[in-house]
Amino acid sequence: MSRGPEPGEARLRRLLAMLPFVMERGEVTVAELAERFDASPDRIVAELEMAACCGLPPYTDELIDLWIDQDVVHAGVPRIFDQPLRPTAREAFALVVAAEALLAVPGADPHGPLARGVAKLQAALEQGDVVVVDLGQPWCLRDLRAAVEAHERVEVTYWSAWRDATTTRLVDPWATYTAHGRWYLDGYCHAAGARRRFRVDRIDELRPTGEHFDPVPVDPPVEAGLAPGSDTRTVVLRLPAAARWVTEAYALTAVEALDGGGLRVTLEVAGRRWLERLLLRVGPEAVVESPEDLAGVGRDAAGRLLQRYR
Amino acid sequence: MASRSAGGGKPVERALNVLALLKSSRVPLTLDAITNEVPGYPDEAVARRAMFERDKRLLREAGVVLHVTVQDDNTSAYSVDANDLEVHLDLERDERHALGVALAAVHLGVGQGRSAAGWLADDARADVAAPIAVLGGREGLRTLYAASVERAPALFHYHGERRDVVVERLAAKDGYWYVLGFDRTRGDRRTFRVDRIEGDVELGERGSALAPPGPVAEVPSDPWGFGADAPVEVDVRIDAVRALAVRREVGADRVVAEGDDGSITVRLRVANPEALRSWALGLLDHAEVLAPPPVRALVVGWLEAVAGGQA
Repeated sequence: MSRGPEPGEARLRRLLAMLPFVMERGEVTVAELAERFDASPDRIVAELEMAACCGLPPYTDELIDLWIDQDVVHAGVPRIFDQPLRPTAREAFALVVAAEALLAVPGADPHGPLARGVAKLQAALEQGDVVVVDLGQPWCLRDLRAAVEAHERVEVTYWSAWRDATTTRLVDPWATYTAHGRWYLDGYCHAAGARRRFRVDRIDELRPTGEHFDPVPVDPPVEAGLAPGSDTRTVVLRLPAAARWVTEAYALTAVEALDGGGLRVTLEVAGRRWLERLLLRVGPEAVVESPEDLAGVGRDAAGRLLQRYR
Repeated sequence: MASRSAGGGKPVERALNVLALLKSSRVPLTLDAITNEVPGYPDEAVARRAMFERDKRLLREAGVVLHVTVQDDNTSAYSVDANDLEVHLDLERDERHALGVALAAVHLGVGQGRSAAGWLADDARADVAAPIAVLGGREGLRTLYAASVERAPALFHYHGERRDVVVERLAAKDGYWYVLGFDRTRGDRRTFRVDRIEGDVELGERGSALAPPGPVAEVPSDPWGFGADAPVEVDVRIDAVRALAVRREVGADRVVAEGDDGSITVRLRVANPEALRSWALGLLDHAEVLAPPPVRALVVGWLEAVAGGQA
C-alpha cells in the first residue's frame, strides 16, 4: 500500500485508470479499488471524492458522476473519463508477460480467450511477438499434469540430486508448477510418508497405477526450491562477484552484499552431493563459512572428479 | 460525501479539470481559454502562466500527450487525442477474466504491482489456488519492453562496453531472460542475457530505433550454445545412471556412441565452454568431458583450482 506523500503524476495516473474502471462496472467496493490500485482505502475515498467535484464548466451538471456509500463506489452516468486508460509499455509489461507465460504452459488453448485477449492488447499497443516465453516441457509433464487433474497415484523412478541415487516410489501428485526455468511436482511421497517436492526433469520413468486419492488443497510456495525438512542443514557461503547468478538460480534465505561485489548467502542444503554440485559450479573462490564440517566439500569433490581425468 | 463545489486550487484536481476540458473540446484551446474556464488559476498573468506550465508538466508526467498547435496570432493552443489516452480493446467477458487469471497465476518477481494495467483484467485471484509459474526478472526488463514499444534504443553496459540496441524480442528460457535485437554499436544482431547487463537500462530518443530487415536473433537452445567464441564440438561421456535423462535433455540426435555399460557419448556444439563446464560438473561423477583437448583442459584446470582453493 502507498504511504506518505505521493507524487502528483502517480495520483493523477491512478485516477485516470480508476475512473473508467468504476464507470464500466457501475459499482465497486473501496476495498477492491484499494487492493487493485495499490492505495489505502482512505486515499481512494479522498481521490474519488475530489474527482466527483471535477468535470466540465460551469461545474454544476456535467461533473464526474460518482458517489460513495457504505464503502461502495457507485457510478452514475459515464462521462468524460469513461474509456479504459491506455497503459504505458511499463504498465502493460506484466500483463503481456503473464499472458504469454500462461499460454506457454502445455495444454494451453492457443485460440482461447487468453490468446485472444492478449492479442487485442498487443494490437492496441502496436506490438507483435516481442515477448516469447519458453517454459520447457520435460518428457513426462503432460502425463503428470493429467495425473494431477485426475488425482491418480503414479509410480516414479526418480533421481534424487541430494542423494545422487535413483529410487522408485509411489507418489500422489498434488500440483505442478514452473519456477525459474524448472518444472516441479508437489505431492505425497509414500516412501517418505510426507509431502515432497520433485523436479520433473529428474523423473526417469512414470507409470500410472489406476489408483486414486482424495484431492488435497495445495498452496505451493512462490519460491520453489528445497522444502526444508529434518535432514536439511543451513549453510552460509561467501561467493565472488562473478557468482551473482546463484541469487537467481537458487532459493536463498538470506543475501548480504559484501565489499568488492561479493555476496554472503544462506541457504538450506539437503545432502552433501547437492552442495558439491553448487560449489564445483561456482569455482575456487567459493567459501563455506558454516557449518565447519562442510568446509572442505568442494575441495574433496574436485579431488575425486580429477581422478577421472588423470 | 462532500458537496459538489466547483473545483479548487489543488494541482491534481486542476489537472483533471484541464484534461476533461481538452478532451471535450472539438478545437485546440489556448492558455487563456483554459484558465478562464478551469477554477483555481490566479488572475495575475505571470502567476497564471507559471501555474499552467506546472499543470502541463504534471499532465505529461502522468502520461498524457498534449498536442500543441500555433495559431494565426502565434499563440499556442492545446489539445489531446483520445486515442493517445484511451485504449479500445473490446474485450469479451471471458477474455478479461482470462487475463485476470494470468495475472494471478504468474509471478514475475519484480515490478508486477497490482496497478500494472490490472484495470484491463478481472480480479481472478479467487479462481487461482496457487501460482502456476514464477518467472524471475529485473526492473530493467520493463524498460527493455518499453524500448520496443516506444521504438527507442535501449542503452546499457554489457561486458564492460556501452551498447545501443534496437530491441526486437524479449525471451524467457531455462530461467533466464534474453534481449534480442540489433546492436547499433556492433552493426549486427546480438543476443544478450538480461542478468548480465551491468547497471541500469536507459532509453534513447523515442521513435529513433529502427532495425535493418532480417530475421531476429535466436535464443540459444542450450546455455553452452550462447557465447562469443566460435562454436566447437565437444564430446561428453555420460554414465548409465544419467544417460537416459541426458539423452532426453540434449536430444537423441546428439548421441554419437553407446557403451556396453549403458553409458553414452554426446556431441554438443559449444560456443561457451564455461557454461558447458558448469553443466558437466553439475552431473558430478556421471559426466566426463572427453574432447577436444582445450575444453578438457579447461575442466581439469578448474577442478585443480577448486581442489587447491576452497578451504
